[in-house]
Amino acid sequence: MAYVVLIAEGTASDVLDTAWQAKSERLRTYAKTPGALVLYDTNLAREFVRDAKSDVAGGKLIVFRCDEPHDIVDLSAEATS
Amino acid sequence: MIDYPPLATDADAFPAESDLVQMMCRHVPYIEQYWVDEDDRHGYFGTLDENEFKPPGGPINEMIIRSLGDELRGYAVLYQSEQYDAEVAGVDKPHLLDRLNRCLRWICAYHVTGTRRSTPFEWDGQWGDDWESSLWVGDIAMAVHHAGNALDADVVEDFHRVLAFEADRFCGVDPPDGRWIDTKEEENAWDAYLLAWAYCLLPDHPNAEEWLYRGKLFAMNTFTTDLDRVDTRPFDGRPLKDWICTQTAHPDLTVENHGSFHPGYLGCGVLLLQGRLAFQLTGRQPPPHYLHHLEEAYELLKRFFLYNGFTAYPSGQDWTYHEPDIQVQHAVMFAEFGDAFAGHILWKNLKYLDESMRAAGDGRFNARMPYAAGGRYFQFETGIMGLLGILVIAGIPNVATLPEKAFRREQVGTDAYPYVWLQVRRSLQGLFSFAWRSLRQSAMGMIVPAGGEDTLGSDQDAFIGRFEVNGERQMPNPLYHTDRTSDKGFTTTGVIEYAEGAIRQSIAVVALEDGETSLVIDRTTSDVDLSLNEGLGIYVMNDFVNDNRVSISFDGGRRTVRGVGGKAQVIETGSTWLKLAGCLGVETSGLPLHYEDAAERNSPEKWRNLLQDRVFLRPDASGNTVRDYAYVVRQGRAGTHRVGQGVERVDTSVDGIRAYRFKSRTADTIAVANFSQSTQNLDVAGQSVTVPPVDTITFEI
Repeated sequence: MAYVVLIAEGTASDVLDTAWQAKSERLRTYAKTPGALVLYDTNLAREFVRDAKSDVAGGKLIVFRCDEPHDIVDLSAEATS
Repeated sequence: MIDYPPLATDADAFPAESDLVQMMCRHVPYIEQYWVDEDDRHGYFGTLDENEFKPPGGPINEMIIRSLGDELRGYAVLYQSEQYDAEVAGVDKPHLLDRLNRCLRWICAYHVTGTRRSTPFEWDGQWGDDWESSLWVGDIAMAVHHAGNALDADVVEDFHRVLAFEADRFCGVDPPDGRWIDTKEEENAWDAYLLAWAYCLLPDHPNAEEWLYRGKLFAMNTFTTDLDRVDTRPFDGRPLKDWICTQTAHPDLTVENHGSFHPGYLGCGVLLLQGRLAFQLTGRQPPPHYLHHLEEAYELLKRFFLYNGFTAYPSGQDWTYHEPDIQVQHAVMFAEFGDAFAGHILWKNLKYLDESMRAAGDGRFNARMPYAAGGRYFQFETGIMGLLGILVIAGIPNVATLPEKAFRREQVGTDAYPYVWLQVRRSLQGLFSFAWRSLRQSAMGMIVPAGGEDTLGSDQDAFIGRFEVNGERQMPNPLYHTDRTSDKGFTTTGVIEYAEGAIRQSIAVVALEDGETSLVIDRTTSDVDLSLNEGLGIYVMNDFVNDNRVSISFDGGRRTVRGVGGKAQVIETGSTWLKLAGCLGVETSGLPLHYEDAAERNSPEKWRNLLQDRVFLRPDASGNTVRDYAYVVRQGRAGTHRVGQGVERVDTSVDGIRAYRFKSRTADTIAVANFSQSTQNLDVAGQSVTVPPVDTITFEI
């Protein structure tokens, strides 16, 4: 598997969030938090990247690609139980 | 049942366009039964009722639109062909054209750029801008182009709207990346395919040049390795590396999809060739980008071809086994690149398709495919129509079979594929392999003896067998292994854990250099009670492919085992050896062999459209040692004759060592497997040997 990782700073963060809300149905999302988004890499993900880049009018948007997570610490189930 | 006259496959002219069109005509009455009139201008084949999809489930848009694109390509070919046989098809050419117009209009109306909506389309009642819609629209583009001026003007206009929308998706878009588990190779190929057709059919569109560029980019990023990323040779105005933004294949070009190595996806270069066809059919020079690594990938794929035209899947198969492989890639490789092997494979598969249709006798291409109005089974059937259509559109070359000896001689050699933990020995006696990683992340072996290509299959527990605890199948976790490969054979030795380490299987696999003999040593301990312990696992296809019967013989018996429609049973042979289909022999170090005679189609697990029987062992536990045996398999007719000469345990009195004496084709042989973590120096049968940790040696005596 490969992933596209988007990191947004400043106003780009809101743009990223809005763009994802509009397109999330078509995307395979691995992780999402304000200012950060990890998508499974597909042609739809790359379309999303193009659109998000064109929407950004301020702040900073960084796009990485990576093979897989190096490590995962997931305590979310404990926190909500 | 319709008694189709067989095609004249013995004629020099076979396969000709008339042969392909004849098979397509046979199919028309079958697909016509699924035609639905939506109104007097719109209609489609199949169903929109998800409950009628077989097997159940999606992806819905693919099942519907991809199937229609395939059928329409076939209908366009039939409409234009002078070989069309209306008597066999049961409808005349105006009827075909009416279907083309109404179905194309229907497809475009439900696209995301259209005006109609319906369940169960996934995007608020529509399709389009899908992960795979490039493929479907590329296929439809070929149909539209081939039908030419015959189509209604509004239909062509509607389709051009859809085509431009789908191509525009890739303006400014870079190809996605993926190498491990899920290559992006086939996805980038189908996007390149669509972009080629968009550019060639709409060359005056404002975005046409961008489509051309993106098509080149996606084509270049179909088969990519890390070496491409440092390749500075000039290519179309820039260093080649500057075209590459992905690594979709391992350095040896093996590709992973659905979990591990999947030969089927090495064949996806066909999509680039279908894109290339757009340029050729519209009088343009195809960009060389559409051939990047294509020949090398095909060369690798050829290593898995079998003489009868089937492809071996040594890491497992999760699509259906042995669909007729009539991809246009074989035709192109034969006609343009002079590859006689490719011609052989296409010839064999077209003959197989004729036989399959005559066995079905009702217009289905695959006699093993269940009836379905929708879903994958429906799509698999329509897919063959589409492939035949492409062959006719591209032009069927005068392919021929290779002499059997020439084919087998060409395949001789042993290959190691370290990225996917696979070794394969090809010899004049057939194929033998072992993979430590299968599609299900299991380990599995495969043996396909010469002459047994239509009988010997495999599954993802072959050679390692099955363990269950409280009725629950335990999943293997291969821990480590040592591989050694020579030009003619290989050894591999390693450890697999199950049940979080409670079961520990040490296994050694030896493919001798004689090309005929192989040995598997299995020593397993368990700290938990096993509710099922079945070792070995050789899979036997017993279906249409081998005339639905298999002959077996063993010490004291001989049987002909019926496939589909027989009685499910386990034949307890009581024999330590078994000969199968006259071309495979298996012999154990003392355990009696069992033959599981299935009565219904059971493979692969998801599709269940091939019946596989299984040869297996039921070892008895001794303390926590639940397996401690070896078995020899001999392939080819001569190898089978040598079965019965024994597999004898050689006592070494060294913990962690297992040694067995058996006969190879040329001499008495001893294999010594060291399952311990340290080098062992010992005497075996009067000879001093040194065996590295987790390794196996062999020597002749």
